[in-house]
Amino acid sequence: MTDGLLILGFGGPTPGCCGRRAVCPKTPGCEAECFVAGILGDNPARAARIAEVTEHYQHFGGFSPYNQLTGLQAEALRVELTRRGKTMTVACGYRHWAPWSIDAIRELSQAGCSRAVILIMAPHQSSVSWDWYLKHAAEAAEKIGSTAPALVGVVQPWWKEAGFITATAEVIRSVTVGWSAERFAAAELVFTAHAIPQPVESTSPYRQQFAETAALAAAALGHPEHSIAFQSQPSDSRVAWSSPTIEHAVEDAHRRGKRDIIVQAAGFLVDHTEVLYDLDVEAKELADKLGITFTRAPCVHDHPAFISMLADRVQQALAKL
Amino acid sequence: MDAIAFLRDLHDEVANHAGIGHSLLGRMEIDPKRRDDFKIFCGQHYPLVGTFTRYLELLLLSAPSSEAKIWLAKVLVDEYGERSEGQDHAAHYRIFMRACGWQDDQLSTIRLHPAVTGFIAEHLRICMEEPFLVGLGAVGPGHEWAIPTMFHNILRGLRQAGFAETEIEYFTLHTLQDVDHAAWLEEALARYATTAEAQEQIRRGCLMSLAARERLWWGIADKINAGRMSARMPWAVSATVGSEQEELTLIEFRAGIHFRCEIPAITRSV
Repeated sequence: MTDGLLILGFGGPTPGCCGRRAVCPKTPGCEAECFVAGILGDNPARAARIAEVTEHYQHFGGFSPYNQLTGLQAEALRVELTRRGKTMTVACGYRHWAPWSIDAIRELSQAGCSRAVILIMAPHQSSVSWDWYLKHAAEAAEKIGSTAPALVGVVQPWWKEAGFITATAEVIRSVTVGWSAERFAAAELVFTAHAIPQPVESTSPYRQQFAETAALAAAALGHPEHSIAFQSQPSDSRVAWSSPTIEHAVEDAHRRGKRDIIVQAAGFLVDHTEVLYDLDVEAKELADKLGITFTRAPCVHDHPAFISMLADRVQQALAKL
Repeated sequence: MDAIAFLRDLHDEVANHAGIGHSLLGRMEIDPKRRDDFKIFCGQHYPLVGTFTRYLELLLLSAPSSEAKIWLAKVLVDEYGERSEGQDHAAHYRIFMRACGWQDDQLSTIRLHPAVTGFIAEHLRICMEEPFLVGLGAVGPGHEWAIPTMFHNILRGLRQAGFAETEIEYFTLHTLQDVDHAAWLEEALARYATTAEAQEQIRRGCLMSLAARERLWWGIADKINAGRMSARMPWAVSATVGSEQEELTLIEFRAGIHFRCEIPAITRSV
């Protein structure tokens, strides 16, 4: 009987029916709309926003690479744990697309796991990026009943862990290879995270943790100054979301005469649609218009330093049991 | 723009507002709520229920004519319980709260998310400090037009969670009454919304109310996620840990509210 590792993530649409809707049109290409409507709610009041975000997914063929890339991280983590002599069954479950959290818990159960620890694939904590995942997993386990593995621990947050910081710094170095020291130092270095609504931000350490990640990564790079910005806030919301926005950061860089802007989405772990569209399409378009060279560093993905750090944290979580 | 066209456009704006279509309400079937989720929900929502009549009472003071006062008074009398066998909305809501597991003596001691106290403070401010039509926009289109749609979604979630109809009468009754209230207030709005300035004030009040509503739903979602996670996984630490220390209870919040009361000058000796 092995221990299970339940990896929880946001999820992204992949080809085929996710099984969410009791009545599903199952028309080709309906996945993206179903995914977005599942997040915002099947609600006529949000129809315009649902259509707008669905378009972002259609821009890339209607699907997201999120699940595939998270699967690669999970596999790298499983291999690293095995290399260390810790064999675990690893399963990925998502909050907004199949395989759902409940599918992943079933997978662990079928593999004979009697207990599992949880790893949340989000670096910074708020009730939507931490508590909601855990609640979702607990409800899924309750639904399965006594055959579900006991969810006994959670991998502790790692926003300032050296492995995450090293990986973040190295992905930035990877896109600035060949730059002179002067060009690199003069470039605007911006880290982004997903914006969250002010009522959620106000009760959480999300912003502070993100700022700390950014400061540590900038220090690891020896960059003289950096800034943080937020992205992907809904256009139809009438409440304040985390600020400044990435658009503001680009405009600010322009105002201060910067010629280069380097953007790294430290609040995300894989290059999925929100990164690919909101940064590589929208923010880049703005930078192009203003005459600034826009360079985006990838997310940490399965960088060895990041995976090694996660393996350390998983082992620490197991040791506490 | 004539009043009818203005009100039609405003109806559309309300119907498509993110405060009405918040994901907490729209995901009732996607992410089904249970009795315990609704216990947290109503602990945060209750203070609003007990305060709505105060907005109308304040607005009554600044209503510019007897006709306007009569429209408001009609709604108020209903809110006091005329068509609810004498039970006002707060009394109905307490039935629901007991069904969720609250005791009456606990209600004033629940720690309230800042978005909840912020909602009430914002509406008291609108009704006391803004021009009358801004206040009318907040309680009319901002409330009475919005509530039937929002409550329709909440009712879906309540029924799915297994509540009996007698336990959720507040929501069914209120939905029906608000359709009437909306019609009465629309009559008043049509009378006043005849100039660009009046229309701007009504719309501004409505949008301020709906923005506060959107913040409110985020605050309640924040409480539900944190509260239910902590209850189910007592070994995990919530991301919101420590934030409750700065939150007010209803008693503390009420103690901090000071109403401005302008007494008309006495013009003749008694």
